[in-house]
Amino acid sequence: MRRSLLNAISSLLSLPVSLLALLALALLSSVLVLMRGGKKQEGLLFWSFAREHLRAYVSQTEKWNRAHPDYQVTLAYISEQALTDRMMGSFFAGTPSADMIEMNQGPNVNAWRGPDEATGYRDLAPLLRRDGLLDKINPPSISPWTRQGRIYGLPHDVHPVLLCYRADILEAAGIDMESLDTWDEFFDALAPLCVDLDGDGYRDRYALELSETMHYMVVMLVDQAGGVLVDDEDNVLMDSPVVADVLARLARRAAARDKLTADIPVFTAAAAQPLLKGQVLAWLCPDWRVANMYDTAPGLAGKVKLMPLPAWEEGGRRTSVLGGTMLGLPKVTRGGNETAEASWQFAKDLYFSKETAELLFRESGIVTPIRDYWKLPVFDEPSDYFCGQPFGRMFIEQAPDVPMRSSSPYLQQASEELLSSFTRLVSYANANDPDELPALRMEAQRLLALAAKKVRLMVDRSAFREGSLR
Amino acid sequence: MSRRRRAVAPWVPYFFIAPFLLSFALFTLYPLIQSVILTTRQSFGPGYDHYVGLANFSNILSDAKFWVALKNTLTFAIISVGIQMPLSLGLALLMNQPWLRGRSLFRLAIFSPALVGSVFVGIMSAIVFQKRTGMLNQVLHSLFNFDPDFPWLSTHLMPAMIIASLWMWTGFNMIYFLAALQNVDRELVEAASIDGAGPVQRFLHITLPTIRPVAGFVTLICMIASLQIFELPYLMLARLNSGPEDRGLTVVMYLYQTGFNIGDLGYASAIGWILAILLISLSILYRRLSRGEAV
Repeated sequence: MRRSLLNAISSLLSLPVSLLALLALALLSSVLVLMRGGKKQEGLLFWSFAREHLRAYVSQTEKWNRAHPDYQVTLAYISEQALTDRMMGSFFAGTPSADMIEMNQGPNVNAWRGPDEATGYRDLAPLLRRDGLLDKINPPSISPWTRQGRIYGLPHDVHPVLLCYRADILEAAGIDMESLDTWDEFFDALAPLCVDLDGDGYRDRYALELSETMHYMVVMLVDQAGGVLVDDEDNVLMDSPVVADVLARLARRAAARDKLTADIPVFTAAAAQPLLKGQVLAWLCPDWRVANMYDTAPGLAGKVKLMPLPAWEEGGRRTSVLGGTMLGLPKVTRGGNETAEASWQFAKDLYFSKETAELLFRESGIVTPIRDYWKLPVFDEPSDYFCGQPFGRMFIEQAPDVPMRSSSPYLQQASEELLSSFTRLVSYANANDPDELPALRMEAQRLLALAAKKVRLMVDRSAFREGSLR
Repeated sequence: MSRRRRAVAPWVPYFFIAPFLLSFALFTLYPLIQSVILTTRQSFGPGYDHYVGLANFSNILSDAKFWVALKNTLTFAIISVGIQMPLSLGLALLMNQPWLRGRSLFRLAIFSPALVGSVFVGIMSAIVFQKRTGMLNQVLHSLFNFDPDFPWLSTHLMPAMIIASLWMWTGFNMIYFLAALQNVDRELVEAASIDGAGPVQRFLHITLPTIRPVAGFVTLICMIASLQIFELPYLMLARLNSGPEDRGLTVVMYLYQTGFNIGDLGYASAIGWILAILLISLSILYRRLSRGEAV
């Protein structure tokens, strides 16, 4: 045995010097890595996917850090996709991530797709009740984060939607936009302007921006009409007559023959070009899009105005909602219970602060969900960009009417299926008479029934839903 | 000079192959076995799972989204490879012509898209294929009065994906064919010419049989890569998920969505195994068909 070992060592020594050097390096680096150990995090870590949000938090954070030297907060920007991956990875593995995570609605719902105990966020409902904060929040703002009585995040915003339009073009054409109360009136009034301007045989101007590749716009208009895709109990309700009616009326306007809607890549710099060139006359504008427009379309300053959305029916809702952010506190953090209360205190101070509400509006045009602050004078300041309109006040006037939204993790799938139904319906309208609204409604109902069946199958497949454990 | 061979203990060879065996067992064999076990469970990340037997497979069979993904993947693979192979071979034949001046430059130009990588091609395609603002529609409109709002990234997503993949991989495959063409016996070609064989006959009876093993291999590799397509539609669609009507949904993309977005690793594993079986069947079929040919 001893001899064999010696032989093995001697075989090893007979290896080329380069190989031995590599082996030595590997051993040395392994030892160094082991000796280095993990870097201990100090203070509290705050992740957000939005730079403009963080800009509004700097002053409040500095104030907190001065008052709480033991719980210094570090703000960190992480792109949405990376943040989603890190967040879900840590929730799945039960490993610590940040102490506070500010996250968008879309990917966030996956966090509570599994069994209740697997949800990575703390339930904030007891804390909100304990500190008497629940009544201060606009109820529609908290609904996307409330799941079976648990509240997984503090709402960051309201995101009411107004209609932004090219006032310079439409007023020059003699159209009184304020008098257009319904979508039908809107489309009929703008239709004569939607023509081929350069004589190449293609339409160059459209009444409304309406993406046929991203579901946001269609879902927003369904929300406005009061349609529900999936409720909080995961009941799939997307095949209702309300939803079918909205799809049919939109498909009529999106059909190729007299197309009035423009399918452009919304919210990107490229999307700003058709707005700047006057190819799109009006677009749906949630409050957060104001900052986006300042950045990507500064040339629109003094040319655009805002107004409440035209309603689906006379006297109907004049707004909707798009997007939403929450601040969640993960259950597993590096500091454990020791930092949990400090995280809550900071989150509460930040989100319920008057200063943050003002700064957030100035930085991004976003309206706070804290109703007490809606009286702040900052919201009444006229804006040169919007031809002197006090756009903050205009958004706030619509804020109480923002529709309640579901927190179902199946909302994303239902929204995608809704969009697919819409694109199929537009194809149907192209192949048939788009003005035959009853036929379009019937086809919409059929397509939605098929879509709903797909989503229901997905819901039924879940072994983690209450009462469905096999 | 004679060297005496030292006696080596029987365990020494095993000692030397142990690092490989260990890493293979840890990083390949264990995950493989674990993924089979996972197919019988529904999970929410690795921490929470529930035994569901073969329900994942039966659910997949009734899952319309999976069938759309499979149809898209097969359509992409068949059309993309079907166009890519003759195009690559045609370019290789052209680049092999001694009369062509600046061949090296052309080879580099045609091969270069493969150098930039599929991620770059995916991101660039997302911009190029945009309606109205995209470069392709702009150029086609100014040249042929093509519809500037032609919806490449929605109703015509499959052609857009195929065009992007052709741009990326045709030059890469051309290099394989170019290498294979160097093995064609020039004397045989000259003899056939003297005997009166035309270019088509020479290609069909001399060139093609010589390069057939390489062509078969390249086709198989491309087919396998195309069936695993993920990054191209994922990046081209950017924030659109799988596109309207799931036109950009592929099998691997669906696997990613269920496994990493939703967290159901069991369902994702079942999808993965179905794809693996498809790929293994394809490889077996290729081996059967190419039996007796040397690559």
